Amino acid sequence: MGKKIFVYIAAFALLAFTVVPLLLVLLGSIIPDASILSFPPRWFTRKPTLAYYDYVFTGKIPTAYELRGAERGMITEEVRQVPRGMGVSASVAVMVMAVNMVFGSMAAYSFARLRFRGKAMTFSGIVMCRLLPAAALAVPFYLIVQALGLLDTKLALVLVHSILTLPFTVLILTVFFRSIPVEIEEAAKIDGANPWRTFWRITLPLSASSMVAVGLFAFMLSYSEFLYSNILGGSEKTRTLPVIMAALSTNTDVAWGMFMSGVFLTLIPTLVLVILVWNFVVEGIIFGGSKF
Amino acid sequence: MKRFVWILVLAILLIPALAFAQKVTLEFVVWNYSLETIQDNIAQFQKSNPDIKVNVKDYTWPTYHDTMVLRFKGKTKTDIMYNGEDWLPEFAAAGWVAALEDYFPEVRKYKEKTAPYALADMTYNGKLYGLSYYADLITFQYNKKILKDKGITAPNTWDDVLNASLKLKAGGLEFPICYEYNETLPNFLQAYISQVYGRGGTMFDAKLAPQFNNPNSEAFKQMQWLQDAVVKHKIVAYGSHETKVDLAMNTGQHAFTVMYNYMLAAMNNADKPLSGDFDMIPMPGAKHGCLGFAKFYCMTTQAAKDPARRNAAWKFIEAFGGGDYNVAKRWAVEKGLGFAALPLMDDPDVKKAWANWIDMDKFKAQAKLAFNGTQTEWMGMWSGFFRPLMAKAINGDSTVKEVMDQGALKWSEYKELLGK
Amino acid sequence: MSSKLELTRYPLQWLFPVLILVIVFTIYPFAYAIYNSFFQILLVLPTTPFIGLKNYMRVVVSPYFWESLVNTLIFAAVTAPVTVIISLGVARLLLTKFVGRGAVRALVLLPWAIPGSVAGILWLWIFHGQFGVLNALLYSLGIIRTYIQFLKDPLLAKICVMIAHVWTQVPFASVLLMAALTTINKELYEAAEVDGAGSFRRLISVTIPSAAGMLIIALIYELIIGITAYDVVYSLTGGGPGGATTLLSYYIWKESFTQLNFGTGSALGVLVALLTLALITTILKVIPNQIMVKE
Repeated sequence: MGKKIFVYIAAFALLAFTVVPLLLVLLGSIIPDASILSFPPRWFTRKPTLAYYDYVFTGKIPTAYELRGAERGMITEEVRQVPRGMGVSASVAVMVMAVNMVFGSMAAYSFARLRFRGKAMTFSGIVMCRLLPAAALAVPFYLIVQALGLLDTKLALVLVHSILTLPFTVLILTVFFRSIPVEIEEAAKIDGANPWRTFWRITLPLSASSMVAVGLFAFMLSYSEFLYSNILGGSEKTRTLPVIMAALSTNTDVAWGMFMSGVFLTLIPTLVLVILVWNFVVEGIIFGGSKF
Repeated sequence: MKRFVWILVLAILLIPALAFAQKVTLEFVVWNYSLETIQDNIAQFQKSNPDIKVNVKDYTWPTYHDTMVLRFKGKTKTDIMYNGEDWLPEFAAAGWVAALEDYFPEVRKYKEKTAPYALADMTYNGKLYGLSYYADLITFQYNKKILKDKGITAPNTWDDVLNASLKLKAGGLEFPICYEYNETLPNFLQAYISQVYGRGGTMFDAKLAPQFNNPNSEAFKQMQWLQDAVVKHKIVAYGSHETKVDLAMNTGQHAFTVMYNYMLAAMNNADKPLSGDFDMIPMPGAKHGCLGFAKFYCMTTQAAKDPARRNAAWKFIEAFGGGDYNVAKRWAVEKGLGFAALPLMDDPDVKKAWANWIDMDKFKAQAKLAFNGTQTEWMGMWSGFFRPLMAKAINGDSTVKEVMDQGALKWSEYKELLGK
Repeated sequence: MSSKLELTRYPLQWLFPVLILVIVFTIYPFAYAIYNSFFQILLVLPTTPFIGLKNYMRVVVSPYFWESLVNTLIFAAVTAPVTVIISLGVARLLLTKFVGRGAVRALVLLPWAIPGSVAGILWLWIFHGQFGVLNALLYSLGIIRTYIQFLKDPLLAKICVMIAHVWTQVPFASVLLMAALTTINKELYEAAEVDGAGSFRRLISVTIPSAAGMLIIALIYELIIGITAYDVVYSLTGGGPGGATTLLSYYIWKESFTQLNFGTGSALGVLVALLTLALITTILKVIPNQIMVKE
C-alpha cells in the first residue's frame, strides 16, 4: 500500500516537472501580455484570448494592436510561417527516423551478430562524427552540401541529421540486439534461415521497444535541430521550426503571447506522433517482455 | 516548306531562351527582419525592371554574419547582401565585397544626402561601398511617466542618472536601470561606446591607439560607472536581449535603459501594457553624443566581375538605398526603422508616423551629435574578444583596470598583425 | 551468452548506406579539421602559412579556453548523472501500472520536442527576475517580498541552466532506459524477491547490472550532449552573468566565426574531439561492461 502511494507521489512530481513548463506555454499563449507583465503579478484578471492563434492561422490582427486612428501597431508576419515550418520539420524528421530505423538497424545487426575484419574501425568511424564540435563541422558540411548541389534542400537536412543521429542509433541497437539470447536466433538458423531472414523475422520483432526508442530519438533530434538547419537553409521551403522560433525569439515585433502560441504549435506534431506510437509500444512491451 | 517549318519551330523554341538569357538573376541575401516587406519591395522592383529577377535568401539575424562567412568561404553565388558597419572592413579586406564607387561613380551624389555617421560606416579606404538600408542611433530611453509621477527631472549627466536611480530605488523601484547584458551580442559593446560618446569621450585616438585604458579617459570612467551601478549601488537589472528588456520595461519596474532607438517604437507599440510611457532624451554626459550606425546594401566582388550582374546589382541597390528613398521611407513609416537619408528627416509622412512613439525633432537633434564607431578590419574580432571581458567588469568579477589593460593589449596585437 | 561467431566477409550489404554517409560526412570533416589546424587561416589575410602547432599553443595559453572548459566539464559532469538517475526512476515508474499511465508516458516525452533555444527561453520565463513564473508564484504565496534575481547570481544561474538542460534530456534517457528495463528477465526479480530483497536492493542487484549497457550508453550520450551544449544555455543566460555560464561550444564557434581564425578553430575542434574520446575511453575502461564490440 505504501508503495502505491509512493508511486503516485513520484508520478505526480514527475508530471509536474515535465508538464508544468508546457502548461505554462499554453497559459502564456492565451493570457494577454498585459497580465503576464503585470507587477505585482495578476495573471488571471483578464479574459484569456485566442487572438494569437487566430492571427497565426488566418492573419486576423488582434484588437490589442489597434491604435487611435487608422494606424496599427507593428506585428510580425513571421509567426504565420509556423504552420509551414511544422510541416517542413515534421517531414524531414520522419525521413530521418526512417533512415535510422532501416539503415541503422542493419548496421547494428552486423556489429551485433557478425564478426569481420575492420569491425572496430568501422564502428569507431560511425561514432567518430559526434566527437567533433559543431563549429568544426560547420564549414566542411557546408562545403560538402554545396558541392553536391544540395544547398537549401530538405535532402541536405535529412543527410546531415542522419549522420548526427546514426552514431547513437547504431550503438543503442547494437547493445540491444546483443542482449537478445543467441539461442533464439540459432534456432531459426537450424531451420535454415539466413542472417537476413533472421533479422527480419526474429530480431526486429523482438526489438520493438528499442526500435521505437531509436526512431523517436532520431525524430526528436531532427525535429529540434537548429544549427545546420539554419546554415544549410535559406528559403521558406527548407525553413524548419527551430529556425523560425529562433528568429521569433529575437524579433521585436513579437508579443510574448505570440511567441508562446508558436511554441505550443511546435509541440503538436510530436504529440501526435507520440500518441500514435506509444499505443504500439505498449503492445510491444507487454508482448515482447513476456518472451523472456 | 518543311525547312521553313523547322526554322519556325526552332525560332519559337529559341525566343523564350533568348528572353531568358537576357534576364539577369540576382541572389540577394538578407537577415529576415520583416521578410514580407522585403519580398513586396522586390516584387515592385521586378515589375519596374522586367529584365532582372531577384532571389532572396534569408537567414536569422543572430547567425547572419556567420552564415555569410560560410557563403563566402564556399563561394556560393551571392550578388547583393545586407552588410553591417562592423563587418564592412573585414569583408572588404577579405575581398568579398566591392566598392560601389569604383564601378559606379554616380553613387557619389548620395554622399551629401547621407547622415555623416552612416556615410562613414559605409566607407572603407575612402571608397563608398553601399547605400543605406536603415541607420539608427543607440539612445538613452526612459519611462517618462515614472519620472513624472515621482517628480524627477530627466537626467543630464551620468551623475544625474545615478541620483535619479537612487531616489527611485528608495521609493520602491528596486532596479531602476534595465541593461541589455549579453556578451554574445555586438551591440553589447556598441551601447557602451554610445555612452562614452555621451560623455564626449572616444575609445581610440586618431592613430587608432587605445584611449580606454587610461583611467582618466571618459571611456574608463563610464565602465567604472557601470560597474558601480551594478555592484555598489545595485540599481541595475540585466536583460538578456532587447526583446526581454522591452518586456521588463513594460512591467513598470524599470525607468532607464540604453538601446537601439527603434526599441522605443517597440516599447511604445500598441499591444504593450505601458504603451506610450516611453521616451528618449539626449545621451547623458557632457557632450550628449551617441553612437550612430548604418546597415546597408553591398555588392559582392563576384557580381562586380560580370558586367550584366554588376549593372543589375547597381540598379537594385540604387532603387532600394537611393533614388527618392522610397524604400527607406517605407521602412521608416511602417516599421519605425531609422534612416540615413537626410531628406527623410524633414519628411512630413515620416514625422507623422513617428509621432506615435517619438518626436522627430528629438531624433534629429540627437542624430546631429552622433558619431560612428571605429571600424577596422579587426574590430569585429576585437569586439568578440573584449565583450566577455566587459561582461566581467560590469558584473564586478574583474577590475575595470584589468579588463581595459587586456583589451588595449589585444587591440595593439591585432593592429600590429592586421594594420597597414 | 556469446557463442563463437565465424569470421565473415565484410558485410557491405548491411553497412553500405551508413558507410557512405560516414565516409562523406565524417572522414572529410576530420581530415579538413586536422589539416587546417596546422595553418594560420585568418580570413582577412590573403596567405595561409604553415605554422605547425602554434594554433594548439594559442588555445592552451588562452584563459578563455580554460574558463569555458572548466564550466563545461562541471556542467556535463553534473547534468549527465543527474539526468540518468532521474530517467531511471522515470523509466521504472512508467513500467509500473497506474491510472493515467498512458497519458503520463506521452506527456513526459514532450520536452524533447522543443528546440533547445525555445526551451531556454521557456525556462528564462520561469526564472526571470522581472516577470518570471517562479517569482510570481513565490510572491503570490507570500513566500518572498521582492523578486529573486535567479539569473544574476553566478551560482544560481549555473543551477538554472542545469535544470533547464536536464529537463530537455530526461525524455530521451527515459525512453532508452524503458526499452532496456523491459528486456530484463522477470525471473531475476522474482528470485531476488524470494531471497527477501526489498525494492531498493532489487534495484541495486538486479536492475542496474542488467541494464548496465544501456545505462552506460545513456551516461556517455548525456556527457557528450553536456560537453557540446549550446542552445539551451545561451538562450537562457547568454553566457552570463560575467562568464559564469560560458561554455566551450560558444568559445569554439567564436574562434572561427568571430575571430575569423579558422586555423585555431580547427585546432580547438580537434582538441575537444580528443578530450571527448579520452572521456569516453576512460568511462568504458573503468566500468566493466558488456558492450565489447572488439572481439
